[in-house]
Amino acid sequence: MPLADVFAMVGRYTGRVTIWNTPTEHYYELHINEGALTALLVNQESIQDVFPLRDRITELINLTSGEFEFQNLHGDLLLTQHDLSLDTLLLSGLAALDEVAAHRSQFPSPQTVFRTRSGKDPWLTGDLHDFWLCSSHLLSQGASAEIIAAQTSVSTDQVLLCLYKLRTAGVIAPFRAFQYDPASVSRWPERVMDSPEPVKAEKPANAGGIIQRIMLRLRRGFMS
Amino acid sequence: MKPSLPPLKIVIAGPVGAGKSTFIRSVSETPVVSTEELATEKIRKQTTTVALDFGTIAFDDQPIHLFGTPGQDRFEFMWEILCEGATGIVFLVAGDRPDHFRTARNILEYITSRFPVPFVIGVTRQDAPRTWTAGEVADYFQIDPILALGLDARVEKDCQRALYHIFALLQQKDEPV
Repeated sequence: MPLADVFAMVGRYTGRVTIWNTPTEHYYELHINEGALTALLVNQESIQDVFPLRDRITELINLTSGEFEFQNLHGDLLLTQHDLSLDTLLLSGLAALDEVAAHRSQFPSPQTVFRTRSGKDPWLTGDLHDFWLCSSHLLSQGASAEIIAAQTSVSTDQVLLCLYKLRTAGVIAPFRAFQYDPASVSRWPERVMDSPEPVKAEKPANAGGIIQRIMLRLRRGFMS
Repeated sequence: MKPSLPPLKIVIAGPVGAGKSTFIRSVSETPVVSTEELATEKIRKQTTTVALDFGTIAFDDQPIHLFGTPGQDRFEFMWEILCEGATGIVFLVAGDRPDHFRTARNILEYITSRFPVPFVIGVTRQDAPRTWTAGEVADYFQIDPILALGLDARVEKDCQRALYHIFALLQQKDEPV
């Protein structure tokens, strides 16, 4: 039975749903009060932020196997950290699944490091705004999807989707580990066939430098 | 005469069919060691590199080792192995294969965000009837246009020019090499 159907069924009641023996190897605990999710615990750790919580709901909907139990409880015995409509969470979770599937082929490698582009003050809404709130401190330093996922409790797939969107919006860019000064390389010789007058090879200031000697030899090669 | 530095390692990377093996064959001064096998996917050629290509150049007493990476996605694990300790990366893409650009960009960003090595993008197949210029490819890859150049991997001078760009980037670094 799909878990979305389970939630739809028990969501009208008040109590606690526990889910275990899943492919994710997590133990989930949902506290539900008449259609509202009041708390979500994963491996007995409470999910406080809304964005990771939504992502966990998507993870639950995506489960292919597992066991569950619903325990009717009085509302006073439940944790009350949130008051989120379970129906809305299910709908947004299903939409997120479709979105990940649709864009997966565009995703960067989970190890690729991204960094916030300087001078960008992004105007973001919805889930992307929530993601930005919990990840911008990491992205300002430079972080990969793997690192962000590990530090925010958001799934790697969801992080990759958000990074893809932020990159498309120009908010972040891939980090380049090698830094160079564009001004110092702008004097490179043009392509031989495009250059009407060959650039004369200059005598390097430090003739003993290996790199300079290599450059000189290469330049002689392609300028000859 | 003993070399002044250990061999410098230049990696020739990029998607399948970009001209990596051709580049190394064009510029290597020694017979190229190749690991070509019959292609099992539709990649517009009969054979493809499955582990690496290897060639060498020597400038006076300084050897330079050229390592070509496999282009197919399933050899992704080789990129990291080959890029470890690299002096520079020449990243080749075929200008007439924009369908490969997304994969190529992912490979390049994976490598360059993790390894602090200078790189240039060489845009091959500039003689094809419908092809992207180096500037257009630089736009797509969101890199400084100075880091992209059109080249013919069959022409030694074009390959030398790409290598020159790598060493020019190295040269402008503050620390002496």
